[in-house]
Amino acid sequence: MKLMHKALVPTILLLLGLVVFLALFARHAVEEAVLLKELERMEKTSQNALLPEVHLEGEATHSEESTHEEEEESGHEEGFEGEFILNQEDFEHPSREESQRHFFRYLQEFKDPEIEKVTLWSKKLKIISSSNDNDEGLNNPTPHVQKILSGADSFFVKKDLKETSLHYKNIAIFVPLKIEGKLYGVLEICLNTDEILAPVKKYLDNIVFVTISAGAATLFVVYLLNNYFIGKSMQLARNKEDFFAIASHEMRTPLTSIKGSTSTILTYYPEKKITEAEMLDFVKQAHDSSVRLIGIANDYIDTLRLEQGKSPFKTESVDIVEIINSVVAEVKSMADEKGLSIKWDSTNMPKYAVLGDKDRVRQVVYNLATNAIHYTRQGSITITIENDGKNLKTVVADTGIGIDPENQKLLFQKFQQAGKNVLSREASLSVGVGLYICKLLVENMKGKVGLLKSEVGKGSEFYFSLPLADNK
Amino acid sequence: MAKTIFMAEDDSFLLKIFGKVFTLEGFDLKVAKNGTEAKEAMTQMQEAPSVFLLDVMMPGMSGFELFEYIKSQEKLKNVPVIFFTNLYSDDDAKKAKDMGANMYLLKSDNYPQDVVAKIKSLIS
Repeated sequence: MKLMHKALVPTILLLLGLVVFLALFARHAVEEAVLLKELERMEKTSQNALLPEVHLEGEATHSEESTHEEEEESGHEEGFEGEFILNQEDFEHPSREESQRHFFRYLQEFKDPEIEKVTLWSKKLKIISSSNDNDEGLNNPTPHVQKILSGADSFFVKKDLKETSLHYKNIAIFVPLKIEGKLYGVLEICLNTDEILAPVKKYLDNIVFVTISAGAATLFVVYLLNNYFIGKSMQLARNKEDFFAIASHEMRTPLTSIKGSTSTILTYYPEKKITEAEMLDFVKQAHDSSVRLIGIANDYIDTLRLEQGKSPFKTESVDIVEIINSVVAEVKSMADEKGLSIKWDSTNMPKYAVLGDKDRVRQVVYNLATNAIHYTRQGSITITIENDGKNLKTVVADTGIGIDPENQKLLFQKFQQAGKNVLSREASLSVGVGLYICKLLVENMKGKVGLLKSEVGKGSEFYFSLPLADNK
Repeated sequence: MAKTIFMAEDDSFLLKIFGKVFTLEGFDLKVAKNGTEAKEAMTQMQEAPSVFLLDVMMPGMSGFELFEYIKSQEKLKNVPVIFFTNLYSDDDAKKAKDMGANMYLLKSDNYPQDVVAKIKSLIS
């Protein structure tokens, strides 16, 4: 027993060291990812800082029916009638600075399906900031941007079907940005739809029938968009807050377990208040918690990197059968522990190659398989593959607890198991990003992932499909 | 007579570790593994415990919802309640305080022995 005790001291010290290391690693990794993003934002913001104020000048009459040529004629030739400045009284907005701050934050952080693109062009026809990262550094402005830079007032353009060169789908808004009367650049807002931004459309329509200051009209549109973006911005902030609250909860739980186990051994084992079997059980718990913690840290880092587009993806021919074989072998012990069987028969199965990144495909199969095991108390997990000639679908079916229709809508979202009430989520089952990571991974490989069917008490079927590399 | 701690905790590791230390320190222990189980146990309680130690994030019912239930029950409403959670935010801590909870403790900041000391100070 004395020897056992002597041998345990270094083990416990090692575990305590591991606790500290993991805590520092996890904290550092998350902070680093956040910091990197913030630095990127600040770097971009420093360029936007060149835009202390947005002054829009001039007055013009616009008509929905007006063509580009008409706008060119009406917009600038009617001349300017003073300066229009966005202020609190006009728009009941807290401050112009705040509005701009939110607006430019939008440019950097949001991807909105209804807004195809928001781009800020410099006077030298270079993109200063764009909601589409791929546009950064490009300099191929449409003729409309050039029209503004050559002195035209702001205008709206509805897509002319005959004009195929336009890259927006419905409406584009072009706004000259002036600082103290001097033209600085052009704001280009391309919308996929004229339905979703109903308030904006309402004012666009009003502008058709009344004579209004073009500067005021444009600012009003920008202001409405700002408010729309501020709403989005606040939602993002809430999402981030939820993410970090839950992420830190998930990491603190195994850390508490390690800290509690080791301190209990150190306090009570020397006094023989706990038995050797209990002590070994606590050591096992500390070990298992450290493994769990590493998995959680990896999942969160993965999530952040994928969301930021910082994870490189290879496109290679991947043998899906070989991957499933390997995952089944790995998770078998996990299923055995719960008395579950895994049904997967690759005997005489032809080789199926899909296009993707081998490690990422494996990660998706692993996540779906372990997810099925976590949520199945008895029965089996069945894996099958289906070839439709173009894509290969992998289906993971379980006989688990199932998901009710309301919560099915939340699948593949971050912390999806939260449901409507974040405080009553089943945190002990998973950290809540497994399916979300699957979605990010599969979409990056041009595939699809989803729930085929699910019934409470009977089980669920999840699938992912990837394009076939060949068809044998 | 030993004091009784009622602990609602969905993490089996933490339940085992903290539960062991509580019993070693002379407390009787009653446990529930999720919010629903905790509420059911409360409805059947013949005798009120000395303290409730409630996790906040639990399947079925949250610790906050359990707190509301406790305060609605004549025989339980005067029992001290400690929220014991790893889900920490200033808002949640303030909410717990405003609701009338006796303590809001972060699990990872407290050794099992620390929790014992705080419980003893609360119910002595």
